Amino acid sequence: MIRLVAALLIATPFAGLAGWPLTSANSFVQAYVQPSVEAVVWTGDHPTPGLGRWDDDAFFAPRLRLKADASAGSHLFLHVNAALDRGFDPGSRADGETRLDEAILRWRLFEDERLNIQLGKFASFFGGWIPQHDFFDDAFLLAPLPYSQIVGVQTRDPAALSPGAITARSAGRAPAFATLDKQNWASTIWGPNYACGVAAFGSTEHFDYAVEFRNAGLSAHPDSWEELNFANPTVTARLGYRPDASWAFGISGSHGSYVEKGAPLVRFDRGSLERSSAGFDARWSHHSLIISGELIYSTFETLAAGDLETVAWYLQTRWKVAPGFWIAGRFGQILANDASGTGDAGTEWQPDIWRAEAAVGWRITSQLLFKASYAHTEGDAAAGHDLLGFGLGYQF
Amino acid sequence: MNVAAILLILCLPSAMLAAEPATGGVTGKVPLPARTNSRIAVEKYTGSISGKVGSPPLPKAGVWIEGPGLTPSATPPPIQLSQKDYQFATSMLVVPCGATVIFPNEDPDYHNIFSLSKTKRFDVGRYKTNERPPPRVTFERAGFVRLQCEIHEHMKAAVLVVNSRYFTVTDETGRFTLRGLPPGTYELHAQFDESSKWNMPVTISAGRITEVNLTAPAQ
Repeated sequence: MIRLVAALLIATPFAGLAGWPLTSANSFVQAYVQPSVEAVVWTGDHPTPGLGRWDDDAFFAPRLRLKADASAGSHLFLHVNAALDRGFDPGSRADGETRLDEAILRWRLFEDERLNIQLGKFASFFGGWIPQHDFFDDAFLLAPLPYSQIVGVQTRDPAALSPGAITARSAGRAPAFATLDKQNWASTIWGPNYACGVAAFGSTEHFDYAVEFRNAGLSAHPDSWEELNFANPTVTARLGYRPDASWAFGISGSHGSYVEKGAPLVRFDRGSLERSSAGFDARWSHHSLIISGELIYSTFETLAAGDLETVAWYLQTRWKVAPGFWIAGRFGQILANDASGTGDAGTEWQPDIWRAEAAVGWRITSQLLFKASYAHTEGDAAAGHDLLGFGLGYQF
Repeated sequence: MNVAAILLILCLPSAMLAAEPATGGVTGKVPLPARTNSRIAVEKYTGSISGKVGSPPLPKAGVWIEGPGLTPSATPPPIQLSQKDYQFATSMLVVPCGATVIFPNEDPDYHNIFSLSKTKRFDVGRYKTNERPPPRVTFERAGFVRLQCEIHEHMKAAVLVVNSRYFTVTDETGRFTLRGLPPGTYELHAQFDESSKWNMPVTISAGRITEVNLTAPAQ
């Protein structure tokens, strides 16, 4: 059904409705439909660093996106964001798919932003990157390292995460996880994490706050975002403080099961293996410069390898050197503890990884945007090092 | 005081009035498009709007006349276009060539006004409430400049830069009146956006307001 709705929404522009504001006679009901096209060409090493997956020298990832906003009065809003592309992660559905990324029904309780309640499928409130993840808002083509790099936690077969298996992988006697199907493994946060659920959030002059209750964990693969099963929910909260417009700080927390659907539940149930995360984000901006970063600590419970812990961070900057033209840079790391082995021995379950990135963006017109992005990753022995992307986006 | 002096005093005011050039005016109505380009003012994610969003400014068109001797002064005074309640103060600002527009921010959050229009490409960056000095942009060339805010997509306005010292803005119904025009035959222009433009010849007579009828947009 979700896909049918998405397909209808994708077809809407060709029915002559797209790109236009729509208003009822008394202006009580308003709608705004915004189609766009994003076309990215990726090229680089194999296996691909990050969440992409392809075998050719280059991969063409076009995306037709349709966003629609509607309001009834000043308190009720609907937002829909659908896509037709070759997979949420480049190459994950190379033959193409139609997907509903966001479908939000929001009730604004007051005339200002003090308190909103929304339900549906929506991006997580965790951290500081997600509010700017849209192609036309993000300075880069690739998500920051914690949002785009898998780590050695098996979300669909947690029982396989034994000290023996970790040791075999570490010693090279078993395939490294990055060469395996990436959907079986966790990312610290998987992209914007469009999961389903309910959230309450708001803003005042100095504070932002949000609590969300959703069906899938932050590390869950996109297929799990649509699973309407709230038996093992993930609860996430964020508190942001803005002393003035220049500075923004936030702390986030998330707790819930990381085991995804399809996992063989032999010696455990999904609720018995949980992950917890705590994050700190900060942003400073003034005139043409924005500097922002995040630090995320995560711990994953396992059946036999102890608690697997990661610390992931990144720092990024964007500088507009001319109207519509910017340059950007980013550096990030993922550091991990050792898994519990036999006796007191610790086993490396996750290599330390770092990634350095550079990007340029040129907003040629208010509708047309070109971006180029280069990423160099080190430490992940099973994946390549270099990834280069060129993207062109057009908003109709 | 002799009679000649008394006559001089009595005649002086009328002589001064006669020296002041007689002017006329033009009035009419611009057929504003029924469809406006307003966008729902709701943020998808938190952090960019912390107060109440005001109603969008009503759509208006700019009107001006062009002709010999009507070019703007070399140093037109600066004009202010503020942002308050996450909206521009007006949807349409008409300025003469060479004018400087000041963009004060009266909201607690950042605004970032920019334009990628061919007439004027600029980006003032992110600036705070009542930042001093407020960002300012000088518009040298005549043309239509669409304004946007990088942070708040719903914010829309336009600066219409005209090569004239006689200009005005319609009300929301499209009505306008231009007064104080020197008598003569000129070209009357009106513009709503990049594509909705009107122009027609108009003759200004001293002491009267000429009624004009602008119909379909000129292409």
